[in-house]
Amino acid sequence: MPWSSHNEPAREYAELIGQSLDPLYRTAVRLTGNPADAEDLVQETCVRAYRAWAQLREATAGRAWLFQVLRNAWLDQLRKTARRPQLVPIEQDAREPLAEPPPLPNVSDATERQALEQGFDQEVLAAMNELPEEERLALLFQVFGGLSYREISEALGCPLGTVMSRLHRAKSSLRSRLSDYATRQGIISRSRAIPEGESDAQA
Amino acid sequence: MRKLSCQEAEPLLEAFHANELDGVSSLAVQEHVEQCPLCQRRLRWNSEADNSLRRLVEATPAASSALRARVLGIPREERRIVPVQFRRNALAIAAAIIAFLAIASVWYFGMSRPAQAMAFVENHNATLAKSEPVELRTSDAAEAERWIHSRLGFTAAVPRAPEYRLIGARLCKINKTPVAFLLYEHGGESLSCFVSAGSYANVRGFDALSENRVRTGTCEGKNIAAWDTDQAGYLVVGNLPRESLIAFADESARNFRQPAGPVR
Repeated sequence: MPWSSHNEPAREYAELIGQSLDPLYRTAVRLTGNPADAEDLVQETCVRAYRAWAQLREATAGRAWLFQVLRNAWLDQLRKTARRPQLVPIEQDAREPLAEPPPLPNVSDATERQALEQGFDQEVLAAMNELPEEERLALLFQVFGGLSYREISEALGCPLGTVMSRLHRAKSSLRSRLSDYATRQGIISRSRAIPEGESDAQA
Repeated sequence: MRKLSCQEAEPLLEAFHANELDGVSSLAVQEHVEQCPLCQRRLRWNSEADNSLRRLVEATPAASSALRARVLGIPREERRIVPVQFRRNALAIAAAIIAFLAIASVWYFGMSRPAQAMAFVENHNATLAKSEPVELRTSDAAEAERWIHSRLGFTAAVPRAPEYRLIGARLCKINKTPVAFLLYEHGGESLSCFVSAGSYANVRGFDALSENRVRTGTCEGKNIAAWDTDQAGYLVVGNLPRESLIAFADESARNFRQPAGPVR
C-alpha cells in the first residue's frame, strides 16, 4: 500500500477503485467511443471522486456513487463540447401498440452463426449509440458497469421504476434493431401470425 | 393471481429476464410468458441482444496498468497539490498581512500627530540628568539665536526675561521633529524651553489659557506653558508655579527683539 494506514479515505478510495476500475473504464469506452477519451474521463471521475470522498457516507453505495460521478463528469464533458444534444428526460412510457416480433433465425451452420453474431454485435453497438442519453447510460451501467437496478437508480438519481422503463425501452430498441437486421439480411421473414403452440428455434 | 395481458407483461420482460422483479410480479410474468408465444419470442430476442452485449463487454479492453497506476496515485497527487495550494494561500495571506502592516506603519508613523506634553517633560528630565545638558553654553540670547539658525535652519527669538538666566542650548527631538532646547535657571530651579519653527497649539496636555493666550498645564508634577509667536512656538517645562511660567512668557513678549540671523 503506497500510503500510510492512518489515511483512511485514501485506503477506502484505493479499495473502491481497485474493484470498480475495469467496469468503470469499459463503460467509459462505450460512452466516449475511444480508449483515449475513456482514460481521460475515468481519470477525471477518479479525481472528482477522491476530492468528494467525504460525500460518500455509506461504503456499500460506493460503486453506484462512483458511476454517478462518472455520469456527471460525462455530462459536463458533453455540455462543454456540445457533442450531443441536451438531454430531455423521457419518463412517460409511450404506450404504442406492441409490435409483433418475428421468429428467431434458425441458423445451425457454425460459420453462418458466427457471421450472424458479428452482424448482431454491430447492430447492437450502433443501436446503443443511438439511444437517448439517459437510456444509454442506464444500459451501459447495467451491462458494462455490472450495476443492479437499484444501483443504477442511485447512479442516475431516478426512481427504480424509471430505471425499469428506461432499460425496457433500451432493450426493445435493441430487439427491434436485431430483428430488422435479420429480416433485411433475409435470414428470417416476418410472420404475422403465430400458430398456436409455435416454438421458435433457439438461437 | 390475476393474469397479465401482453400490454402489461411486455414492459416487465426485461426486468423479469434480469431477475429484478419482486416475487409476485415475477410469478405473474412467468405465467404469462409460459402461455404467450409472442412474449416468448420477445424474451428470446432479448437473449440475443444480451448475448451481443456480453460479447461486446468481452471485446472491450480492461483498464491499462498505466491508467490503474495513475488513478490509484491520485491521493498522493492530491496531497502534493493541497500543500502547494496551502503554501500558496499561506504566502498570499502572509504577503497581505505584511502589506497591511507596512501600510498601517506608514500611516501610523507618517501621519502628523500632535505631541503630548509628556514628551517635553521626559525630555526635560532626561536633559537635566546629563552631566552636560547643553552643547552650546551661553547666556547671550543673540548667540543662541544664531546657533538655532545654524543648526535648525530657522530664525526664532530666544526668550529674554531678566530674572531667568540663559544657561545654553542643545538640539533635541520631540515626536521625531528636531527642536531647539534652551535651558534657563530661575531661583535655583531649571526651566527648559523648547523652540520650534511651528506652533505648539496642538500639543495635548494643557488645561488652562491665560489672558495673554498662554496655555498652561501640569504633567508628571511639572508645570508646563506654551505660546506661539509669528515666527516660532515655545513650550516651557519646570519646577515653577504656573504663574512664573506665564510671567516668563509675558517677559519674553515684552522683551521681544527681532532674532539675530546668521553671523556675517
